[in-house]
Amino acid sequence: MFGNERVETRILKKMKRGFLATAVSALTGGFAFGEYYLTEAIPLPEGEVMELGSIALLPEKRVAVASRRGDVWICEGAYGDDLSAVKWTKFAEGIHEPFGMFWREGWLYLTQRPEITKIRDIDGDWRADEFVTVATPWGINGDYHEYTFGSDPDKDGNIWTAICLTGSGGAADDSPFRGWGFRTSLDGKSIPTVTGIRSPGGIGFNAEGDTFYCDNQGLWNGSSSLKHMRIGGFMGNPVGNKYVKLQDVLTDPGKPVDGSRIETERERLPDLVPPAVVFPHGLIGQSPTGIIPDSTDGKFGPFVGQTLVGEQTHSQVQRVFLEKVNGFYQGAVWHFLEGYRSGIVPLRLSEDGTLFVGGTNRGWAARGGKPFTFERTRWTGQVPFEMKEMRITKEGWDLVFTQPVDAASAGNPASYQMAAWTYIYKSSYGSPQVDQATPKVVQAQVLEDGLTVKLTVEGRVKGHVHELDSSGVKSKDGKGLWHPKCYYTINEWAQ
Amino acid sequence: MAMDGKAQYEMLCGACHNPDGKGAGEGAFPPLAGSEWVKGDPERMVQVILHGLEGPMQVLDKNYNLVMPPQGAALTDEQIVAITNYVRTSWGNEQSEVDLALVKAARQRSQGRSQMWKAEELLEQWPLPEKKGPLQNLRATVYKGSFQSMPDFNKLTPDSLEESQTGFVDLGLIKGKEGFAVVWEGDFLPATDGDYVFELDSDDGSRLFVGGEKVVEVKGIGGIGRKKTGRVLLEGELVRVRLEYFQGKGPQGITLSARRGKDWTHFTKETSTSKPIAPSIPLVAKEEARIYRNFIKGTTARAIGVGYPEQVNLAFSADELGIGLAWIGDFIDAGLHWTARGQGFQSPAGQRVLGLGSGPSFALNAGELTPWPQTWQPELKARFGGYVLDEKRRPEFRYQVAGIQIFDKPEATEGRKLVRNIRLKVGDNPPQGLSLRLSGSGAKALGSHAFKLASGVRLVVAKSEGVEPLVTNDGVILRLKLKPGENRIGVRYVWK
Repeated sequence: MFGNERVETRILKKMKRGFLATAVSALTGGFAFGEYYLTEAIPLPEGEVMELGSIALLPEKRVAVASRRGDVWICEGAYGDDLSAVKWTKFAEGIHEPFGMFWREGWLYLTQRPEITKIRDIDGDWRADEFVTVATPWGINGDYHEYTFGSDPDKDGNIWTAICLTGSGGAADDSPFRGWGFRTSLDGKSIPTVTGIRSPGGIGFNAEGDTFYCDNQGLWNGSSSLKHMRIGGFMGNPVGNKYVKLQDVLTDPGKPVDGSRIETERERLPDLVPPAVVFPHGLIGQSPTGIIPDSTDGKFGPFVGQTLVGEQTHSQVQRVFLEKVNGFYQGAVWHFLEGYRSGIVPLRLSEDGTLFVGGTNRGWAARGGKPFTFERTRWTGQVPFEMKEMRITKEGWDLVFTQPVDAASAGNPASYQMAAWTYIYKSSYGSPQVDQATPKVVQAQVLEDGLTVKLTVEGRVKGHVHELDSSGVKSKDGKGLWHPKCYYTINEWAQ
Repeated sequence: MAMDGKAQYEMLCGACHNPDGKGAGEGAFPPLAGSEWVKGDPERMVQVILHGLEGPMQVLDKNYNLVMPPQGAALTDEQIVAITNYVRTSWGNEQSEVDLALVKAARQRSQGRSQMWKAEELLEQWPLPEKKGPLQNLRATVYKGSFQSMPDFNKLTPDSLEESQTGFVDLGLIKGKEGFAVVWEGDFLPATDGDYVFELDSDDGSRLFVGGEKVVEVKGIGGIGRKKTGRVLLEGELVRVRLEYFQGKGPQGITLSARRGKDWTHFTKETSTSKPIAPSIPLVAKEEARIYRNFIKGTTARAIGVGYPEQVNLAFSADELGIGLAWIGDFIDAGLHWTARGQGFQSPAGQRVLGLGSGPSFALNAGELTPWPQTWQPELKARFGGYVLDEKRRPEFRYQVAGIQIFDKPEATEGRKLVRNIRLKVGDNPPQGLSLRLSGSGAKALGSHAFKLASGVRLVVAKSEGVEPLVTNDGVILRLKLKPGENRIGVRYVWK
C-alpha cells in the first residue's frame, strides 16, 4: 500500500469531479463523467425508497428493478432520450431482500433471502398475483447477514446461488449450507456446487458463460476478489464445510492452515480454487458486487468479451480481463467507471449497450452519498486510450491497447513500473499486503500491429497480485492512458 | 518517511466517515469530526480500528446501530498510526498524536480478542471524556420526607445544599436513597435566541421553571416514560433555570433536554433519547391486504406477514406450513428492517398476539399422549409452493404434505375474526393417521368443536366427517380422515 499515494490522489481528484458533476445533475437531471462514457440518473417514483438490489431486462424495452425493501417496479422509458418521461408501475411487494432477478417466459425469477421464487401477473393489470416457490436449498435463521445472491440461468438453464455465511464469519447449525453455492434448475432441482464462500456481493457470468461471484474482504479473505465458481471447488472460507455431512455430492475440501498463503494451501487442498482476480483492498474498491459480461458486440465500447464488476463502497464499475491458464482463471482489473451517486450493487448491460446500475448505501456507506440510485451509462463513441488486455506469456505479458501506441514510449521498459505482493490466508479479518516483490520490466517490444506490446519481466511471483503502472506509455497521438494502473493475479504460469 | 494519513484515511475510511469527517450518507454514518469518541485517550479509537465496533451507540447525541469491521488484521501499525493522527488532528479535532509504540501496546493488550467491540464494553475500559454540562452556578438543595406530590418548598427545611461543577443535573450523591426532593438552580446560556422545546421525564414527579416561568411538569407518582414537553422563547442571554423534583418510593431518575431546531442541549447525562430506537415505518393495510415477508418475532425465519384491512393480521410460516401467529389491530412496523442493516426479528405492531404453537403444522400418528414433533417427519415430504393473491391481494398459500396438494386461504372479516378455509386435493390412496395442528398449548375444549385459546381467542372448527378435533398438551389438533379427491376444512379464530 506504500508508494501508492499518487494513484489515490488521482482517484480522489476524479471523485471530486464526480461530486461536482453530481451537483450539476440537480439542475439537468443527469450527469456525465469523461468524454468516453455518459452517465445519467433515471428518475425514480416520487417518495419511494428504492435501494436497488436487482435489475432485470424485460421485453419491449421495459426494465424491472427490485429494492431491498422487497418492492418490484417496472420502468418504461429507461432507454429513452427524455428520462423525465419514464413511467413506473409497482409490480409486487413483500419480497424478502432479493439480490438477483431475471425475466423468463412471462415470469420474473427472484432470489430472495428465504428461497428462489418466480412471480407473474395473471390478470393483465401489471401487478403480480402468483408467487411460486422454485427452490429452498439453504437455511435461514433470522441473522441479517444471511444474504443470498442469485444469477440468471446459465447455458444449461441453472440458476446459481452464492449463500452468505451467518454473520461476518459464522455458519449456524440451524441454517444449513451457509457459505455454499448451488445450481438450481428452473423446475426446482438443486445441486450443491461449491463450498467456501464468505460474503458475496454479486454473482454472474463471464462472456464464456462460466460463473463467478465476488467475495468480500474478511475472515479467510485477505482482500476482496472475483472468484470462479468451479464446480466442486472450495472458494477458501472453511467455516461452512461442516455442512458436508448433510449432502452426498461434495466431499470435505479440508481445512487450510491459519496464517498461510493461498498459493501454499493449493498444494495441500486440491479443491481450493484461487481467486481469479484479486481486487487489492482500497486500491480497487472495497466491496465488489454485481458481475456482467460485455456481450454487446462493441456497442459499449472497445471492451467486448470482458467482464464488468460493480463496487459498492467506492461507487464504481471496474473492468476485468480474464484468461484461463492451465485450467484456472486469472487476469487483470482496471478502474473503469466512477462517480455514481450511491453504492453500486446490481448491473445490467442491454444488447444496445446501455449499462443499468442500481445503488444503495443502507448499512454500508458509499462514496456516492445518496441513499439509493438508478442510473444508466452509455458509450459516447469516443475510444479511450486504454490497456485492453494483459495476457500472460512465458516471458512476461502481452499488452493489447485500444489504440496504436507511440513506439518510443511503449517500447521503453522504463515506461512500466511494477510491484507485487500477496495476502495472508487467515481466520481473522482481512490482511495487509505481504511478501512484497519488485518485478522488473526488462524489455518492451511493440509488435507490427502497433496495438500489442510484448513485455519481458523478471521477478514475477506465482500467487501474487502484480501491479503494473504504465504511466509512461503514450498513444500514437500523444495521449496518456485513461487508467494507467492495473492489477494482474498470477495463479498459473503460461506453458 | 511518515505515511500520508490523509491518503490512507480517504482510501480506507472515507467511504463511511466521509472525506470531511462528517459521516457519509448525509449523516447516516457516524462523524469523526468533533466526535467525543476521537477525544481523550487515543487507545479507544485505536481499539476500534483494531477490532471493529458493532451495535447501538451514540455519537454527538445521535443514535447509530451499524458495524465497523475490524481492521487490525488488514492494516499495519504504520497505517493505523497515520490514520489515527490524521483523524485526531483534522476537521477541528485538536488531539495529541500517537506513535508506533502506542499502537503496538494496544495490539498487545487486546491480543486474542476475536469479537468486535460493543460500545459499552469498550467504554468501560476507555471511557469518553467527561462532558461539561450546560448549567453554570449550579446548586442542588435537598429535602427529606415522604412525598406523594410536588411539595411546597417554601414550607420545607433543606437537609443539605450542594454546589456542582459538572454543569449537569445529577442525582449523584442522593442516588439509591428513598423519600427526598431536590431543587436544582443554575444559569443557562442559550447558543442562539429563539424557540426552545424542553423535554422532561422523571421518576417520580418534576417541574421546570425557566426565567421564573413554569415550562413543563411531570405530575405525581410514576416511572420514566411519561415524557412531557414545553416550549419557551429565549433571548441569547443568561437565563435562570429551576428544576424541582421529588421521589416517593422505588426507582428514581430524571432526564431534561432542550431542542432548538435539530440541536439538542442535554441538562442530564442520561437522556430520554439515549435508547436507540429504529425509526417507525408502519405498514398499513388500507383497502387491500398487505404482504411483509421478513423476520417476525414469534415464528420462524421464513415468515410471510399478512395485514388485512379488517385489522386482523397473521404471520404464515413457510417452514412450518401454517399460521405461526395472528393478532389484531395494527399490522407491523418495518422500521427495524428497512433502516441500517435491518437486524433482528420484529414483533407485531398490534395487540393480543396469538401464538399457534411451534413445529410443523402436520404430523403422522400424533395423539393425546404423543408429543407433537418439532421437526418435519421426512416421510411427509413437506414443501412450500408459494401463494396466489386474489383481487383484494389476499394470499392463498399453497403447499404439499404427504403427497396432498393443499390450498390454504385465511381471510379476515369484521368482528375480529380470522376465517381459514383449507382445501386438500388427495390422491387415490389417502395417507392414514395425518393430523393438522391448529393452536399452541393451553387450549381448553368448550364443546366438541369449539376451544378457548390464549389471548382471549376462541377457535371454532366447522363440523365435517373428514375432521376430528382433539385437545392435546400441545394444543388443538385435527385428525384428518381424508378421502380421495377434494377435502375441505374450515376453522375460525375469533378475538372475543
